[in-house]
Amino acid sequence: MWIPKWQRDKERGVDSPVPTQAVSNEEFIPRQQNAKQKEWEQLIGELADEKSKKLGMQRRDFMRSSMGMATAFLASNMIYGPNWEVDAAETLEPAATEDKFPKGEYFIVDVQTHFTDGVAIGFRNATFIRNMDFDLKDDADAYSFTNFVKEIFFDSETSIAVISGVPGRETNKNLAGKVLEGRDRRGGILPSWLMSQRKEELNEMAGGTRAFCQGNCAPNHYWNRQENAPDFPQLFEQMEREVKKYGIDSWKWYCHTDPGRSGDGFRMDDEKMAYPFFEKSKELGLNVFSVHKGFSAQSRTLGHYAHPGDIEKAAKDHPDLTFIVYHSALKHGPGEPQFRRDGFFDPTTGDFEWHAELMKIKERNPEMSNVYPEIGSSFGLLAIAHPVMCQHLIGKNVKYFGADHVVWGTDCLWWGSPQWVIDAMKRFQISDELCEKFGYAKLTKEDKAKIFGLNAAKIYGFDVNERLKAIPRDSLSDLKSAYLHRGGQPDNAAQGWVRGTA
Amino acid sequence: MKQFGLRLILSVLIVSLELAVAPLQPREQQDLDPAQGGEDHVGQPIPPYMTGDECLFCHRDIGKSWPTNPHQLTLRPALPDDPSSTLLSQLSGGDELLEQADFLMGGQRVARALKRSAKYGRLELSLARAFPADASSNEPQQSAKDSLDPVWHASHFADRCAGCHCTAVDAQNRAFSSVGLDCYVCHGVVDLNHTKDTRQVLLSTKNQPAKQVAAICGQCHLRGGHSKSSSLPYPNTFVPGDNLFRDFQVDLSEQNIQSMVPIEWHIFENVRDIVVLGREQVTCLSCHQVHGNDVFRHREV
Ligand code: HEC
Ligand code: HEC
Ligand code: HEC
Ligand code: HEC
Ligand code: HEC
Repeated sequence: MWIPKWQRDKERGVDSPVPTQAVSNEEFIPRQQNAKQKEWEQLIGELADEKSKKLGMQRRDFMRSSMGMATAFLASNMIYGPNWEVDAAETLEPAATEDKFPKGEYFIVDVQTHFTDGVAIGFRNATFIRNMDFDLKDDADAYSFTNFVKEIFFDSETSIAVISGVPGRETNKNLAGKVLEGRDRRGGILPSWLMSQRKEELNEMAGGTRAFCQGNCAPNHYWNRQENAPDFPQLFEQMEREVKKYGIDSWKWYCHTDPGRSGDGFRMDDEKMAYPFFEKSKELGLNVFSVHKGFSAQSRTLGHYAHPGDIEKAAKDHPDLTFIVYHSALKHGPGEPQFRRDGFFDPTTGDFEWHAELMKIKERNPEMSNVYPEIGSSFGLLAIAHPVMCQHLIGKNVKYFGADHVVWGTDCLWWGSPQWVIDAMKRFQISDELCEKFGYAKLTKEDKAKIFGLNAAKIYGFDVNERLKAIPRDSLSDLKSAYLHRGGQPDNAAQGWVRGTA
Repeated sequence: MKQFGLRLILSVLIVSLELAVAPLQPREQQDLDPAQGGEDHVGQPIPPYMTGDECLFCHRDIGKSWPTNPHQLTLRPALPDDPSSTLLSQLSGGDELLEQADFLMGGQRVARALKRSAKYGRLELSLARAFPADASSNEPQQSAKDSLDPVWHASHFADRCAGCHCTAVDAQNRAFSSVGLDCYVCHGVVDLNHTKDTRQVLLSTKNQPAKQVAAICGQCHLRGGHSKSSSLPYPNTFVPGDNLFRDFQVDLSEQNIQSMVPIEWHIFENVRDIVVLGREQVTCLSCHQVHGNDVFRHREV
């Protein structure tokens, strides 16, 4: 059941189902494992040895079971304090977990999932991945759509995935002025045309909605150099194409990137650049804007455009649009060197740089209801690196924006199947102490259900009850059962039966 | 600076030792004509290329050191804690200047400020310069009164600097494609298929031909040259892989090299060795590691 590929180096005997060191997502840099994480890892190993012996099981099989996952969280509690809901009984008895956290209890919509256009991107082979003793396959297949289906839908409880954009833009015409189609439009590692094609394929295969897709087009992608302003005719042509032809369900903006060589990034509250885009999008009937905020260390010259400050005016001026703030605007991920430097977070207040400003925006504008913090990478990484700050993140998001405004995402499959992040959320709780001191509320099952999927369902406008009935009977679920029935395991499953990629 | 001299001499010694033990190369009889052969893009539009945002999406290890890479920092947002801010703020009118500034340059030997222009691909350069106290003696050609003039100059940067401090300048209108130096200036047009075969990307471990390295680094580091076609002090639409010397004229004569300070001198000499004398064993990359934290590559001898 675990992240199969996250097999630990056998010699070191580390095979924790939960990564014991912050895994970086695409936007930031991981740190060396710290002393506590080492301690945690060692403890997992010791406990696993002890318990698997008691049960007469192979340690490897034990670690792959729900008992292994429970052991990882139990060990975390022993090192970091009682942050995770886990009973000792769960480490010896799968039924205890099934009882407490029945599979399928939540309807899960992951709004941040990716794959590539047939290229290996080296993430799974990065130094830090190897440092963590992960032995991930790193060829083009590992990042392929086929593996996407396996790791997102079969190896995890995710029911619906939003295929999320990356920086890049399509070339509309060749030098002779001819409009290009398909692959000729290029557009980088995950272009809009490809996200759309795969969404359709998935939904067709399943016989119902299992995927949504985003479009990469943004206000600075097509540039009129004479006037040094957006080339609106070209921009609008591309927008129309992405909405009408590709059927995208949201835009995905990276304000701090410049693939169109405009010479600059852009602000969402720029009335000359962003507002015409908003109006055109309304005209096209698309009202969802997903925006990458935070995690921008690499882009020194344009990184400040990843600051969430521009959301306030944009959201207030456009109450009819929905803005999803990816990563909850954390300036640095726990993987970055800055994480523990520069006062990036303050344990006495629970504030993070940039994230705190997003919270203030909502505090200043209690009536503003169209902004949704998304927790992709932020939640999962903090869960590992700093369980207490993780409680602050969720505690504040819920306190200011409400449990009905926090959105689930994971950034997978860059780092394997999202199941461990899902398990962490199931067991997540905010301590009495923090609730009392900071006015956070305990997270109820209802809150978690909203975060896991019901909020995204509202945004993307589909009927959860219909999906809850149809999904268990759709062809993708059939395939999943066949896969599990045949002993499909995260690390050794055949992939050939998923529809081949073009 | 003393230390620099020593290290330079040492490294040159080491390299010549290596050459001495290498099988003897036939000594080139005739000087080569650097302008012969290869391609150029003079007068052509800038080719479409993948921008650094996309490269860094995949190349995390590079991303880690890129924000502090001197090439990335050559033009950077004007922040108060920058050494150039500190220097410029000491000028009279310096605070006002910094208030208007969008970008900064230098800081080691001289600090400069720039602001955005209404025009595409342009920056306005302030003629004000501030020198660190101990370095001013290294810049005797610049007078102190320059530093009191905070006027923004509209075309100075485009006419004299852009090609070496910004990315992909269109020689026709002298407009750059992005502020500062992007991966393109060294790696050129990169195809995504390089992920399968790294020979497809310039400067990969498997693709560092001496002539092309000399041209790539030389496009900016051979200061004092000019383009025949545009007369600008930087190359005309140089695309990595091109033969720089078809259009970019630079004096590689012994006499000129002898007259230089060591930093300039070792660059010119290395390029001369490659493109005139045909000695291709040593390139900038034998000693410099652009993405390393250390400028100087410690050679294993
Ligand atoms: C032919 C290419 C070229 C041109 C043209 C050029 N530069 Fe440079 N510049 C360089 C290189 C290469 C360096 C760094 C190498 C060195 O320091 O020797 C540099 C370094 C600098 C520095 C850093 C000094 C410090 O304190 O560290 C500043 C400031 C600077 N240039 C400003 C300018 C300005 C202003 C112009 C236009 C008036 C200009 N340059 C034109 C190539 C060029
Ligand atoms: C000033 C020239 C220059 C610039 C600008 C530059 N590179 Fe490089 N790059 C090199 C050189 C030279 C090498 C060969 C190895 C070395 O010297 O470090 C290299 C090597 C590499 C390598 C392979 C070696 C390794 O360490 O993995 C990658 C990947 C790379 N560069 C990516 C980039 C990216 C991405 C950018 C833009 C963010 C960039 N480079 C900008 C000159 C440059
Ligand atoms: C889709 C992900 C991806 C993108 C985008 C990408 N690269 Fe790469 N690159 C790779 C992979 C994978 C390799 C081969 C594995 C390796 O050696 O790191 C590679 C190899 C390289 C190498 C050679 C490394 C060596 O072995 O010496 C260089 C240089 C390089 N890339 C530069 C760039 C530059 C510059 C860009 C942007 C213009 C870029 N790459 C964009 C994934 C990517
Ligand atoms: C597009 C212009 C450009 C190209 C191409 C270029 N450089 Fe530079 N380089 C600069 C500038 C400008 C600086 C100075 C940065 C500053 O201090 O502001 C610099 C600085 C340097 C430095 C000193 C800074 C340091 O501490 O690392 C070295 C060494 C260097 N370059 C080597 C190279 C090599 C080797 C290549 C070829 C692979 C190369 N450069 C290609 C423009 C360029
Ligand atoms: C034989 C070794 C060697 C070769 C070849 C070489 N360099 Fe250097 N270079 C050095 C050393 C040593 C220094 C001094 C570094 C220091 O002081 O840290 C230096 C300094 C520099 C500097 C100034 C760095 C600074 O801190 O201001 C630049 C720029 C530079 N080299 C560019 C080049 C370029 C471009 C080439 C190729 C045309 C080249 N070098 C070839 C050894 C070499």
